[in-house]
Amino acid sequence: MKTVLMAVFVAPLLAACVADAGEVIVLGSKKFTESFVLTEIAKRSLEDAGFQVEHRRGMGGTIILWEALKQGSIAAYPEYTGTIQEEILKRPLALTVEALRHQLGQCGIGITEELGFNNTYALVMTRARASQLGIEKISDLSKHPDLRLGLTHEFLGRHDGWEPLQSQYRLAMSKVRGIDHTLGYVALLNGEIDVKDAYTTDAKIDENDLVVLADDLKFFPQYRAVFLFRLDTPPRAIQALRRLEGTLTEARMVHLNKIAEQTKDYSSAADWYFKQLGEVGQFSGPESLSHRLVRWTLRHLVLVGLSLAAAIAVGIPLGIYASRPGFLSEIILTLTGLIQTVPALALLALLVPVPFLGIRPITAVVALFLYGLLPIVRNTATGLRDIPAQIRDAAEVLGLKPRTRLLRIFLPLASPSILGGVKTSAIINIGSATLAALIGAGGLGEPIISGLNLNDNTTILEGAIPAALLAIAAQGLFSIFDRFIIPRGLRLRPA
Amino acid sequence: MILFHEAGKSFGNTVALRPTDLKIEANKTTVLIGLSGSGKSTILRLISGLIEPTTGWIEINGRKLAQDTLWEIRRRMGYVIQSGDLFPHLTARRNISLVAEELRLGIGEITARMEQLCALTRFPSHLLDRYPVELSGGEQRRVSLTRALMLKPDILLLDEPLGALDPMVRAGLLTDLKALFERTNTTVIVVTHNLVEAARLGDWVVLLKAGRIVQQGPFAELSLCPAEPFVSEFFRAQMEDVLS
Repeated sequence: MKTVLMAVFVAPLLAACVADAGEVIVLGSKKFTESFVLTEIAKRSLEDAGFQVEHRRGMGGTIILWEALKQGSIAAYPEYTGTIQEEILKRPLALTVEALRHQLGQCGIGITEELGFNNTYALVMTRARASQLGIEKISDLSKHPDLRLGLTHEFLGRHDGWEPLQSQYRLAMSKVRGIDHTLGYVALLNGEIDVKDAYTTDAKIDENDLVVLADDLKFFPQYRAVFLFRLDTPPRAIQALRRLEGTLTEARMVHLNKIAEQTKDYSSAADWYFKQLGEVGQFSGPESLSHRLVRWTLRHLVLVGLSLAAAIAVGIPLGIYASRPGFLSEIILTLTGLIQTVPALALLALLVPVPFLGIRPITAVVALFLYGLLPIVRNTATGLRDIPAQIRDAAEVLGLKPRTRLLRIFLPLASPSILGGVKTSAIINIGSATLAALIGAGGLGEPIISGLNLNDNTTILEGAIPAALLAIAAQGLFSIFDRFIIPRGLRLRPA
Repeated sequence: MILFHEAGKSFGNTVALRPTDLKIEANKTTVLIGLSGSGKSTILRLISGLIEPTTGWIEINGRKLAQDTLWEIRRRMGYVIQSGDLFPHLTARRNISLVAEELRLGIGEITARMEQLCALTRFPSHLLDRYPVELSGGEQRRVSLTRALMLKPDILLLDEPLGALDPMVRAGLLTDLKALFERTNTTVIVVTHNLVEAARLGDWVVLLKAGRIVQQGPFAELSLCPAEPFVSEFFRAQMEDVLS
């Protein structure tokens, strides 16, 4: 009823105000801290872009804000993907932001990309009580049916609230009661209740060191923060909103909520936000394709560069050693050859359980290093072995010391072969490094692997094409290196 | 003076040089001549210390050639190996000066010495900054010779110095070598399979066959009084080759 009243009376009034003010942009917020803070931040961003902004604080719940937006009394407000789906579009299935954008667009409403954090529901307990009972995840609750639960009324009544959660987790809790959100925290800390519902970005969780029970059956939908805006908002204003995309992690949002609650001043939270961004030195809005490509490529180059540098540093001395006839030389060449016969993927998998490695980028670097060793060792050894006997004899009878012979004569003469090995190694590693993404080491394998998982060729190509181009670029780069590293006398053709 | 005391060399079961006594006079040119595999190059390699004798020992200017004396003796020795002994990645100039630089000789001294030697070996000094691949075969040999002479060696070893050159270049270089040996007053040992070279260059000629010295003496003595049938056969075969 309240909603209808609001929609009928207040909204047109607000709309009139907007029209009169001309360039004034009106933003709305829901009646809780996080919504206030987000809108305050958006206000600051719009002001920076040269707009006059009005923040209508705590206008109400989802439906009121949505109606106000549709009717034009506000230009934008912060919302959550789960809410848009459940409450606004009433879709049971999880939709992507892209799909939401399509649906909302039919009502003349736009949606930004995710701001970065997921504020979903969670069940929390005090750390002491949880460890006393050995409870870590929601399914553990089934062993303790007599625990006292204090849940907000909203949570008790939601489509994605208590009832479906209870049936999915097969819980039979006997002591469940409805309690106000803020009071619920007091009750929890006083030991009057054992479990309560919360939002994952609640400042109270951090403040009181509460334990968030793991949602092991993945019951809670995603509540990722976005801004909804009218599509007729000036483009520059939309741009200013979109600058917030991807800038808010959970931790950052929890901290902002804490500041706002402690100071009761939402603009000071906004201050902290902009100061943080300033320090980080970036306004990483929605990551554009070019940004992503740069990030992946740079990571790729770091992986290849580090492993190649290590392979050169180890491979050339090993190759020098292996160039001399002997049993150990054969062992070196056989071993490095053997490594190369192990598929790159298997090598990566074999290295993960090794102490000090594990699922970390360093493991990928080690695997690539081992993989890149053979071409360098073999080419160094062959390059040195192929030096004609007359040259070896000449260097010796001239009375050059062994060290001078190696550094001034033999290595320069073997340089075309050594460089060829390094080039092969680099190109193999550029290809193999795409597998590094499997252990979370990033690089151009990231889009390839997610593309494979999603069966999405476009995404695969986002990684595959740059990787191929990188290999070609490496080839070209080494041709330039050849000119600097290989002595001129070896590059000349007989007159 | 170089003395072989029952010095011989075998590689596994293959005998390259039977235990041999040999005296090589100082400041004279000795030519080692023979067919391929006769052991002439083995003698040169033994003197230079590239290989060690499996029997006997070698004495050079009164000192026994061994690991501890090798480096010092070598520094007093110049060696021109068969063609292709220049470092292809260095210019003619750097090929010549490399060792002198390692011994930290002054730039002025090196340059002066190089100019003097280029005149001696008749290598055109404007070609000094070329790489070996940019030089003709004869020019390459001259650079090699200049490099060997850089440290004013007491002993100069040449292994087929005129091999793989065309006849015109060969004749010119032979004349120049002859003049050079006379002027430098060095102990020279030349390995060749060519009688003409032996006749022109050698004060003393040593003919080898299958790792054994067949005859040695002045060229005329070998030519006129062959010690065994092989010597005359060798001479006749070579002359026929020249005349045909």
